[in-house]
Amino acid sequence: MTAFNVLDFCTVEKREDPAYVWYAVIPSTIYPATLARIQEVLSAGIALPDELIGSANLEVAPADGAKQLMRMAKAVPAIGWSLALRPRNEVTDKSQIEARAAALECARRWFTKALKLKVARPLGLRIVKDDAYRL
Amino acid sequence: MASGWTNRGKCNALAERFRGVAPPANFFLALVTAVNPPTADTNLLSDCTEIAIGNGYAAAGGVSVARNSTDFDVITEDDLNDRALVQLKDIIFTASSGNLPASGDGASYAVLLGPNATPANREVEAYWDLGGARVVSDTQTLTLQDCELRLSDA
Repeated sequence: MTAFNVLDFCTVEKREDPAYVWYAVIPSTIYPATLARIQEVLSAGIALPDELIGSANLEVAPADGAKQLMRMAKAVPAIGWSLALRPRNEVTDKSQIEARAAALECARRWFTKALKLKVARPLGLRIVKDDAYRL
Repeated sequence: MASGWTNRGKCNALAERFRGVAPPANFFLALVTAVNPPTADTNLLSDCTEIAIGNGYAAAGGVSVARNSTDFDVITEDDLNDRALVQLKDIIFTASSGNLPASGDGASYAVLLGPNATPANREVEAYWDLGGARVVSDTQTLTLQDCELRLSDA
């Protein structure tokens, strides 16, 4: 089982925004890593991945976020995971475009949740441009 | 699309940004049923059917959400897809003294509302589909996780 430390994929970004800590991420880095992590979790039958467990709100069960994202991941059509790694302009079929988008959005939500739990404070995230990973 | 901004919400956001209209000090998050479901054209909470009050859903018009970085705790600038997103903190409703809602239909949507002393007159800024009519058993929780709002040109 590989460690999935979201901070390994982030660069702190300085902004005049004292309320949030800002990070920049590169699609060709975060998407392959997060997609691989999700598929690893699904194939290994892990119920609650470590990086998604926790909550800043003491009233919220720590596993609730993980459960929600696991439901989202399980709803992604199987073909979406491989399509997500293909450049957008190579995917033309409507159902494949939707499956690819579902996988990429799941990966973005997964990564964002994991990063939010890791930094434990209001979070700003900039995803830099890379047309290969457009929805 | 079953979730998103209402047109009233878009208009309010632009008015606050470009006309200098004072933004609200806080918002509210309410739960509504599938009867008169919210759409982009929804204006007021009275256009929807709020779930029954009681058993953990304390007041008409929902719970307060502050306009700050604590309650809107993640913001994303997505150059990849030419959009921006903001997420709400987790919002929890705990059923007490019976099922939540206390009667009638379950909660099918969460709606983000502007402030107004009269709950029915609160403007609907955005809405999220909860994926079905949710009824929560006594002592159990309904947690709205990371509700997300998107702003894009497309």
